[in-house]
Amino acid sequence: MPKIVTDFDNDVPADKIVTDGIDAFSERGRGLMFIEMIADVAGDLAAPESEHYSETLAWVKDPLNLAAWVQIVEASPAIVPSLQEAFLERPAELKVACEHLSRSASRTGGGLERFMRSVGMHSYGGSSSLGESDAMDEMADVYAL
Amino acid sequence: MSSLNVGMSVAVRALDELPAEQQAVYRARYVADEARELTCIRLGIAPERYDQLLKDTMRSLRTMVAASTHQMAKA
Repeated sequence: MPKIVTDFDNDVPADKIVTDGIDAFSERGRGLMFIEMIADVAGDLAAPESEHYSETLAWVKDPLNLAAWVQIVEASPAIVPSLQEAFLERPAELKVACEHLSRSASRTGGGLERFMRSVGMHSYGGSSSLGESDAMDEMADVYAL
Repeated sequence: MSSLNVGMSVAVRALDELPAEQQAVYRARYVADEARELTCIRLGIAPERYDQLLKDTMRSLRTMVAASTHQMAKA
């Protein structure tokens, strides 16, 4: 995935410059935020009648958006263990959300694929740990809650 | 600090730019690692209100991500 890096001194207006660090966030908090964002997006995409369906679909079709979000949690090398911990807390929801996002937005710059592998899900597709029918079964279970 | 990626800047900016109630929940959940029940008691809000604020926060963050990346694309 290409890093979205910019020279803030040249490209970004002064009021958008950030001087505080990402370290303000807890490691677990970053992992949890990413998981909940994916779950929230997947929830909207699972309901075509939802008022937010169209805007959500447009959001995930722009690979820069997911890439930017992935970078929030990739900002620290310690994040993978935290993601794994968060994944263990909410395994079914996260698996379904990632599978759904992978089908809905095939281009995420590789960030989502890397994330899925980092939490032990392997890659989406033929070698995925979740088959299509398993994913659909789990989706039905989760959204029935 | 002259070079930050957009994802990081979005997360950090959110702390200052979200509405006050969303910011309080966001900070408690992702910065302080405070449990949902404890946050509800501390802020004096019902769990349903907490869930709604969290959902509103996710949507606000999505908008911030989109605005930042589109702004970069134009630059």
